[in-house]
Amino acid sequence: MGQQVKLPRNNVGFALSLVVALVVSMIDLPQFAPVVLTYFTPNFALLVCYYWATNSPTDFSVVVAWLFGFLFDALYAEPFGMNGLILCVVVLVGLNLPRRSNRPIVGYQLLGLLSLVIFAEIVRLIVMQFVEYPVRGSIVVMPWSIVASLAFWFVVVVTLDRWIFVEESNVSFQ
Amino acid sequence: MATDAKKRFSTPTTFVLLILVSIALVITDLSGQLLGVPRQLTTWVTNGLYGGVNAPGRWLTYSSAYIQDRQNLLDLQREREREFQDAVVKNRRYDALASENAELRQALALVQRSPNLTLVTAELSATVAVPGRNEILINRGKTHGVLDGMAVLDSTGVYGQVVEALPSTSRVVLITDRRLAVPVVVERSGTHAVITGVGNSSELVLEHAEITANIESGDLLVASGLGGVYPHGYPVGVVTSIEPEASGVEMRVLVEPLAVMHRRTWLLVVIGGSTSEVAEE
Repeated sequence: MGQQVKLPRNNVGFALSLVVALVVSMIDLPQFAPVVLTYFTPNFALLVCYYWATNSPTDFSVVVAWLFGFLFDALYAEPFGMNGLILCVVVLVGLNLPRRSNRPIVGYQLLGLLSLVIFAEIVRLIVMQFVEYPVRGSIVVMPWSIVASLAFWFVVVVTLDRWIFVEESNVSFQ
Repeated sequence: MATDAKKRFSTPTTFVLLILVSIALVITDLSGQLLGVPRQLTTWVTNGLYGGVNAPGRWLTYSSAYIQDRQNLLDLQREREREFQDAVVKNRRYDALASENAELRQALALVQRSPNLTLVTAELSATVAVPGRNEILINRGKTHGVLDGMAVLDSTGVYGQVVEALPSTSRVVLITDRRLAVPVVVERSGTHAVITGVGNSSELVLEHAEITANIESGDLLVASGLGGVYPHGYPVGVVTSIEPEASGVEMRVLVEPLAVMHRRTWLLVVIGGSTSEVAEE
């Protein structure tokens, strides 16, 4: 029986969105930007992986997500494996969301996102307590990061839906 | 089936394996230096990535800062130029004031060394711009005690004579005017003579000087006091040249006035007292 799913155009969508997430994560705020803006740092890796896991569950690999997380570990000088662990859980949740006509139900999707963002911040908070020089003030910044991630989710959805996805097509997995 | 599709890339085994690997990596990384070398390598790579990603923004920031700095410097330069021009104008005013002050001090010194004269200070109001007439207007007149025929001095010499006193101003003919004659005496020899103007502000002529008169170049001529107009002994001019006339009887004696014509602002009018003698300095 044929099913309607969305397919990324030759995996270019995956690669492009992950690279953009990586680059955006590395960009410094301009000097004239207020310091408080640094608190509102969305978890770009989580947002992009969650998007692909929920919208393209058949093609997005957890291995890619794990490697992507490993890259973020290196970028942020965080313990190796921490972001990989978080993104594995993100993909796991994303793949198992309740669906209707192979599309994620928006309410569950948002609830899952909220849970995952909080989970990611808690994992980061716990792990970073054990590094040699603990990052002070993480508990203060954490709520703002969660808010920023939730707010930025809509930007990710609109952008990827419009520019990355191809039209729905009939693909049979039987 | 969708479930089968999921298994294409993300099997439960993969999940469990990756999560276990992640936890092991985190523990290993936190526990010691086992991952030191990979960390150094990744740091080296990520530093390059950070530099590359942020290079355009940094370049833009530097560029805008450079342009802003340049604009600020140009504005600052314009402001300094304006301030400099203001300072130059102020400086010139101060110079003028200093010059005027010095002139007033000289006039004051003249008043102090002429106790037998009654002097009134007057300011130059205007110069009469008529060719051949060396006249000025001063801001003192009859209401200040100035009358026709009174002598006008400056701090260095005899200046002229009041020819028309009005209520608040007076017209003064300078000693360089052809119409004015000043009786003088050669300070060195006591020879009396009369000098008149020739219409030139830097030259006077000594009239009817006999070839045998005891006059030499460089002699100081002072007012003789004859006629009671000019104070006796007050300097008038210095002999600059002596040439015999063609007749062989007289000589042409040119005198340079000591008063500074047309360039004085403050003058003194002798409105009273004895003009027979000026106290020596």
